[in-house]
Amino acid sequence: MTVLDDLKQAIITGNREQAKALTQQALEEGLEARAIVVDGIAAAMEVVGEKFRANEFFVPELLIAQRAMKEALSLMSEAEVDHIGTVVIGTVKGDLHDIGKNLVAAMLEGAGFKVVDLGADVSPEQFVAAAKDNSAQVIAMSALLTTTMGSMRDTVQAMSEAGLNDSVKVIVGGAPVTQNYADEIKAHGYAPDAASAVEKAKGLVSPHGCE
Amino acid sequence: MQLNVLTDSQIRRLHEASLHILEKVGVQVPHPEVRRRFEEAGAKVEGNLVVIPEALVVRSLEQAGKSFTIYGRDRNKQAVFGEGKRNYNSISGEALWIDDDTGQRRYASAKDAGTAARLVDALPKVTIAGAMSDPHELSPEYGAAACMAEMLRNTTKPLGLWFHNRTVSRFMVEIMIAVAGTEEEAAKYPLAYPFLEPISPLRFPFAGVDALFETARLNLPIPIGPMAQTGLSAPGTLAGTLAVENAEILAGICITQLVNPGNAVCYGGVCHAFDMRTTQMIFAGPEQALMAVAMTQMGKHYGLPVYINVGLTDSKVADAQAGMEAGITLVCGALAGADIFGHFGICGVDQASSLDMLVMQHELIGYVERLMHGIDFDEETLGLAVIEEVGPGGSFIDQEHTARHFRKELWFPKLLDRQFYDAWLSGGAKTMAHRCREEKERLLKEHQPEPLPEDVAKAVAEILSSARRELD
Repeated sequence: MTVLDDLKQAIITGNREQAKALTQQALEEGLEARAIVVDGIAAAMEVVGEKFRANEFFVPELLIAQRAMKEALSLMSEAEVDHIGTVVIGTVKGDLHDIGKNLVAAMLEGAGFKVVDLGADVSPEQFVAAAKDNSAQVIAMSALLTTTMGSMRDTVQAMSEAGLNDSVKVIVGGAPVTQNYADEIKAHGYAPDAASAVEKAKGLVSPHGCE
Repeated sequence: MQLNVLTDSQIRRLHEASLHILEKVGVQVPHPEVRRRFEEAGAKVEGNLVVIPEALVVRSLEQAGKSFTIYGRDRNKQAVFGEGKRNYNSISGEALWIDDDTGQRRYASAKDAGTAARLVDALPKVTIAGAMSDPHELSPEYGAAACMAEMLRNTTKPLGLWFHNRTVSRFMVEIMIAVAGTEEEAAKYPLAYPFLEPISPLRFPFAGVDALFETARLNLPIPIGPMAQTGLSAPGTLAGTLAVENAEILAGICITQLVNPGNAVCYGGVCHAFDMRTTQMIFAGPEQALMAVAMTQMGKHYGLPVYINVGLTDSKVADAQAGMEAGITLVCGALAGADIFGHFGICGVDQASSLDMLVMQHELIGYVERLMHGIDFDEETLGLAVIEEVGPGGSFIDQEHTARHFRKELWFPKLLDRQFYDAWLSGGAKTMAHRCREEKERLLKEHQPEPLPEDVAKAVAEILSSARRELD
């Protein structure tokens, strides 16, 4: 077993302390940072993703693996960490329900996105400003209440007025939200659960587009 | 967790009532040799009627074996009785069979018994594989032996099937010896048991009693289960039904001890209610839950392993009614502490065998087994440390404490739908009945039972052809 094999295993089993210690050891042994990221950390997350898709891993196991991954990456310089895109995420204005949104944010981060989490009760203007400031490719909005989901439409409208429609894609989700509603307000995507939100966001940032 | 419906004084009163029935009314035993033994043991015999004194009942209860295990041809596959374990069996036989291709009822065949056994072989929670079929194409006597052989090819689990009469029981005992290797081993590791079914009210069948003389050769344990029906073959009250049912079981225990002293028995409290509008038996009404719990209390009072009819349904398909009836009765029976529950895979009230239903009940068993496990309660599961760490507004889903525990805490159903609406819709908007059907088809397509060793298969085939010459 090489140190990278051990590191992979530590991340897959969600062992944070070990993941960090083994990354440190790998750097001390003189391994290239790039190799540690690609052959250790990313390779581990590939396995975790496969297990998740095969229903071998469930959400808690996925998330503790991602936390171990973050511990390992914290020892790397920013340059070594490639993000696959930037997502601005928040629960919409008037709504304080953030458990589902937090789950989506954590899973997006685990999948390699840079996530800018605006928290709850986020106004259309705040979404637009954050998307501009961070050069985000995706805005992800969550709502739990039928009374607050109207704010999603306002945000899409505000983006259009700010001229972001071509550069930034919108995905929406939450208990009262449906694909029909997403289509109606001209969002680019709808995800019924956290795992499909990640897939949807990946599709939207890939050069081939979504679906 | 423990569910009771009778008080201790009601249990005592029921016992007295049953003794009263046996002493004042008696039971019909159309078997001269058994009647002779009854008389010898102090009972009063007039014609077919045997009046049983309390002393004989008490002696028989003391004498009877109170725990036993039956073993599959893979001896790791066991059903353990009398030690607080829960066993689940599919039905031992049915005249009719729901045909998969047509969805229609037709008469069952020996081949169906093989299919039923193969499905149970693939369903880990069903511990005893029932034949689910009374082969229509064969004589009833030969059919019993043919089922046994067919099932042996298709499952390594213990078997549940009818021992039709004494003659075929002889061949079935021979088959068991062939499987076990020697007669001694066959007695030590019984593969199946005969079933003594008194015919309510207060009668015994000749063939069922007679077969016990043959199965005594291997000391096969004997469940005794009359199906007294409220208002038809027993009084129109639950209490009266329990008194008759209990009397019949006690008389049955006396018979087993007269045939073979010390023989292990299982208390089969399988009385049922009766539908006064349709004149059909009721398999799984609320009365069934009550009587099954009461019968479990009676059997446990005697220190015996208990089997009850719960987890069944009057419905013909694996629908909402089936889930409701099977679920509620099985939960009650499990909470009462019975040793065996069933028989599963029946369409309606013994109206056919249904493999779809069996698959649904298998899912239900998983549900109930999780329920019976109860709540793991200690400082670690209480999780104060993780509650402090997460704090107000945080999430527990990415905590190691969660990852460490959720698989043990949660039951993961195979067939119950818990999807998001869109996922359910895009998956075909399937009902439970539909999912049960698909799961059954998948298991039957994929599952290959461990083959019967060649020498055993050859020996069984030889016994079967002599049985055929004599019986078919």
